[in-house]
Formats: sequence, C-alpha cells, structure tokens
Amino acid sequence: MSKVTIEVYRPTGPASATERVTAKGLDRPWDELRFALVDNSKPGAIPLLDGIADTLGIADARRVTIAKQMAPKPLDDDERRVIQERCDVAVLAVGNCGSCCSWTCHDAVKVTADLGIPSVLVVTTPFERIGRQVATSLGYPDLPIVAVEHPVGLLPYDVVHARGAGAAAAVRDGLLRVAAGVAGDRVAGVGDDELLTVADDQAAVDALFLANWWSDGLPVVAPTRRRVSEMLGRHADRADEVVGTVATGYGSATYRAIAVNAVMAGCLPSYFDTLVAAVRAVVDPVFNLHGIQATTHPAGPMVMVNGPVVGEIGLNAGTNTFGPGYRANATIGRALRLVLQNVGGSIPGETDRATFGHPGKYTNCIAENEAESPWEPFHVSRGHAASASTVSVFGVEGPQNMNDAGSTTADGLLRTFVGCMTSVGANYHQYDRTEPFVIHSPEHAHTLAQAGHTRESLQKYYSENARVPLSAFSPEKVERFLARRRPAWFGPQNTTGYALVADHPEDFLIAVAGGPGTHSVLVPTFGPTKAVTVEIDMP
Amino acid sequence: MTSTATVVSTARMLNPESPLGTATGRHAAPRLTTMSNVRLGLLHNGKPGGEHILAGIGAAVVDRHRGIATDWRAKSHPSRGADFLDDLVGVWDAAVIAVGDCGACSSFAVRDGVELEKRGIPAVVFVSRPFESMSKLWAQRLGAPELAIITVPHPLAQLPPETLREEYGAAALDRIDSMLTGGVTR
Repeated sequence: MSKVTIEVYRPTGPASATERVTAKGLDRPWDELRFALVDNSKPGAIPLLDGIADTLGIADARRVTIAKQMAPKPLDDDERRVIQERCDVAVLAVGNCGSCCSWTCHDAVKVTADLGIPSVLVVTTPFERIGRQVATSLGYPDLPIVAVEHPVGLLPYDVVHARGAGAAAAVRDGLLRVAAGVAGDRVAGVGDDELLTVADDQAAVDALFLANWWSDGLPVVAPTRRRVSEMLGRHADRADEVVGTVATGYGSATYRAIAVNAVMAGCLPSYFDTLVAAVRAVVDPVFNLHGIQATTHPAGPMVMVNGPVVGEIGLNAGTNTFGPGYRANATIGRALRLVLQNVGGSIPGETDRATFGHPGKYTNCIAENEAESPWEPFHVSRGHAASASTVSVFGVEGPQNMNDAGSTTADGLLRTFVGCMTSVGANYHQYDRTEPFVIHSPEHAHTLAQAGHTRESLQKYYSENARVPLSAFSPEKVERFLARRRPAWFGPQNTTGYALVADHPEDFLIAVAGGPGTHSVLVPTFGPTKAVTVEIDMP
Repeated sequence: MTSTATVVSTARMLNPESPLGTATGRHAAPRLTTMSNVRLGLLHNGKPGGEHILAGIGAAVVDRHRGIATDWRAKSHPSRGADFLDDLVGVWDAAVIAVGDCGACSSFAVRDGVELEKRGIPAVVFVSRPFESMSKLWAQRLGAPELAIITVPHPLAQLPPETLREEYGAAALDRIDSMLTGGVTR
C-alpha cells in the first residue's frame, strides 16, 4: 500500500533581514579602558558589576555607572549619550528574568550596533538562551553573553559579588574578542515558502509540528497549499508582504505566514482580516512584545474586537465571552498565539520564560458587548468611528473576577471593585503609566450608568479611590525595588501613606462584555505595555 | 508525492456526548388535590431578592387558602444543594424555591426542586429569564423534565422588596396553585 503524503508550510515565516552588527576596535590599551557598567535595576545587578569591575582591577575613575530606572525598557537617549561620550566598552547586567533579559540584551546589541562600542551581556544561566536568540535576531549572533549561576536577586551582596568575580575573565575575553573583530557565521534565515512533506495523517502532522515547537500542544490543522490559499483569499497577491516583525525572534509576519498559522489554529477565512489586524496591533512598539514574549510574568496578549465584524464572523461578546464554544473567539486567539510562537520565536520554556503562564496563552479573544453597554463602544472612546471594526490588544494576566451579587447601588459596587484592584502583587506599582483594564458585565454597567456614571467618571473614581496603604508593601520590596522604580509613590516625598494603581484617570481602560450575572472582571496588566487599537482592513 | 484527492468521502463517527447526558427520567411527585390545609415549604436559596418573592407568596397563600401553613427554610449557600431535604419528608406537602438568577444558583435551585419531587414533594422553582433554558435542560438531565419552573424578569436583586413581594411573588399565586395541584400551566 503506498503511503499518501501532503505538503505543508513551515509556520515560521521568513527571518527578517538585519544588518550584521560589528564592534569597532579599541583605541586605548586594556588598562586605560573606560567601562560603562549598566545596572538594569534588577536586584543583583550592582554586586555582579562590582564583582566584575573589582576583579578586573578597574579603578573608580574608569567606571561609569548607568542606572536604568526600569529593566524592561530600552536605554534612553541620555543614557546612550553618556556611554557614547565617556566609555570605551560596556558591561550590562543582569538578565535574570525574561523581559529584563530580552531588553538588556537589546541594549547590549544597540550599544555596539549604534555606537560601535564593544559590550558584554551578563545573564543567569536559565536566560542564556533567550539572550542568544535576541542577539541573533537583532543581527549580532557574536554578542558575548556571560552566564552566572541563578538566582542572584535574593542573595547577599558578597555571594553575588563572588559570582561577578568568577565571571570577570569571561567578560574580559568577550570584550577583547569582539573588539578584535572575530566573527562567527551568519545565521541563515528560513524561507517561508518552504514546504515540508509529511504523511497525510493527523498523528504524523502533529508529531512534525510538536517536534519543531510549532504547536501549542493541541492538534493542528495541516497548513496545505490549498488551505493557505483559501485563507489568504483576496490577499493572495500580497502573500509575501510583511505585516510586521515579531519579537523576540523577529521573524517576518507575512500575510502568508499569518495565514499558515490561521489554518493551523482552525480559523475560517472570514476571520483572517481580524487576525491580521491583531498582528499589526501587537507589533506596535508601545505594546512591548519584546518584553511580553520573554517575561517570567504570566502575561500574554488579550484581543478584544469591536464593531460590525463581531456579528459578521460570529464572535461571542455575551455569556462566557472568555470561555469556550465559539469558533471565532477560540481560533483567532489561538492563531495569534501560534504567530507569536512560530514567527516570533517564543518557544515555551526556552524563549518564553513565563514562570507559570496562564490558560489565556492558548487563546484569549473576546468581543465588547456593545449592544448591552450603556456607554459608547471602547473603540469609539479611542477615536474610531462606531461603524469601524477594530481589534484592541492588551498585554495582560488572566482575568480576575469581581463578584458582587449583594450590592444594588453604584457606591456598593464601586467599593467592591476598588477593593479588587488594590493588590500588592500586581505590576501596577512597578511601572509608570500602567493601564488597569476593567470589564464590567452589562448588569453592573447598568447599575453604574443609572447612578449617572460615565466611562470618564469611573476612571476618575478608580483613580482617586483605588489606593494601597504603603504599610501593605514589604519594606524590603520597597527599598530594593519599588522606591527606585516609582519614587513618586514609594520615595520619601510621598507623604500620603498610600500608593495608587495608575498615574492618571485615563489610564484606566473600561469596557463592557459578558452576559447576565453580577460579575465584572479586572484584567491585570503586564505593566510596561500600552493597549493598541487598530482598524480592521475589511473588504 | 502530493495528494490531490478531490473525492468527497464520508466517515461515521461516535457521538461525543455521554449516554448518561441524554438519559431522561420522569420523576414527578403526585400533585395535591387541594391547597387547603397544606404545609407549604418556602426554600430560600440565599440569593438576594428570593426572600422577598417567597414572603409575598407566603402572605398570599395564607390569605387565599384555609388552613394552609408555611415553613421557611434557607440554604447556607446558593451554589450548593440543600442538605436537609430528607428531613422534610412528611413535614412539607409542597414547596416553592426562589430564586435562581445566576448560573450555579439556578442549577442548584433546580437540583433541589428535582430532589424534592423525587421525595414525593411537588415543587415550583423560580428562575430569572436568562437562566430559564438552562434550568429546563437541567431538570430534564436530572430526571424531572416536567419540573414546574416560573420565569421572572432579570435582573431582580436590585428591585424594591415591595415589588418582589407583590409583582413577582404574590402575583404568581394562580400559577403556583395550578402547578402544585395538577392543573399545570407553564
């Protein structure tokens, strides 16, 4: 019996073309080099850098310390200028979590790529691989990465200093190697039009995709030429056009690559335009996919769809909107996740470093229940026409329920809601301009609206009343972490005795979704991310 | 080799539903012959508003029927089954349960109603509109497809007690009488 085979697309898309990064040579002898010691604000960075610098015998006059305020963001222009004007080499520490590693690696590459200055990235061993992936995808596979034992953030100064001392020789060797122009081979990209042959059998298809980390673990629909062509539909002539490059692997999300992942997820062709819009939204730099993809935090993109497309493609905005049973919700969210994994190179456990993750990283797509909302639709509040169809994306944890079946007044409900928002473990307190996302059920929304509340009045109420007493925070966490990141709330200048959960009223995002019932949800934020709303390009 | 099959073939597949999920019993307690001298149980499931509906019914039945007595019971939690139903055999002649206005509380209000029917006590269950279809489905799945269910508008917990007593509770008395005595109208 002859075995029937099929051809399926690789789901990774083409690698994005990047210029090869090289460091310039050193103008001074080793003993005269001025070191930029970049502390990315993670506890452990300072003793590591001290241990390295002390062991290499770098005099204080040759040390320039750069203290970033927050790890999961790039170096700002002032910090880059100091490095450019006053330093010959740079040591950056410490990548000991997902998003801080990805961003500190980004800094290390850019210091060399933009300023020509040789740099070394210091990470802890679990994060070496994501560091290498980011460096490679940014065109600098030769970036010296020195790994020390994990953890470093929770240990005494002397212990971490000793780990830095142990890494000093590798730091020196790395700097001298790249300054001498020693390079490896360029990493080849993978063509997105490459087809693989596999037995025409579900088990064989799943085995192939699982073995290559192209699957989320659930069975996938084989992305054959015919299915991908049907998915592309009217976009067939732009199949190679790039919608965006997807962090942290920076593969190119072409229309074809998106279509391949849409087929795998089980999307109908009618969902494709919505999925493309979701990809366009998550690659917007303010969304910070570079941090969200890598982070140890349980964050992933959540999709909310507005406008006429919701009814046209059968998205569920009502009862169980986050839950199962609707193909559009289930497969659009799943397809976006597959794009992030396959095109973005976010491999669970390797380059996706979520300590826990959450179930919404399989799929996380809802629609606003505009029909039952007393307020203007979410996308209208963000400047789009009511007749437009939009996708909004949010970098968030899983939804956290806010149940109040007992309160019948707006005041009662609001007290419950602010009580739910005031958690000391949330990421609101670590970053500026974070966006707490509140989704009210139609019942709760109507109780609030009947009392005269608008989206704006709720934003003001939450801004003024969601307060966490400073006494609720661990003093160590405040001293080692929060006081530096959010001095306005955790420094001595705050005499109010409490911290807020958002800087400005408009940072509270408010929508209405779900069905009957006395539940609303809070969707806690990753922190250094902004919601992005884009219009769907409808035929 | 690439398959280019264009022949549409069919396949036979197993039904993924559990056979138990489609089994239906026909449990139903005998109906009363009269509402006079009846001991009517009023079971509050704990959801706000249910107590007012039951209070309205309790007052109205006493006004209408000679010798009727009401007995009030409350569950500790709306999302659990009542654990005292065995104690009511021989104590209650009939029961009214209120109110299922959410998912879990409706499923357990229906469960309590079915369990009372199985114990020979005819019951009426109040649920709100969004939970009507699931309540009827659960009654069927739990083996009492004829369970008497009265549907009221949703939401209700925020309404004045007077409205719930009169317009939701007392106003349903004709239907409750009919459901408990056999002249069932739904």
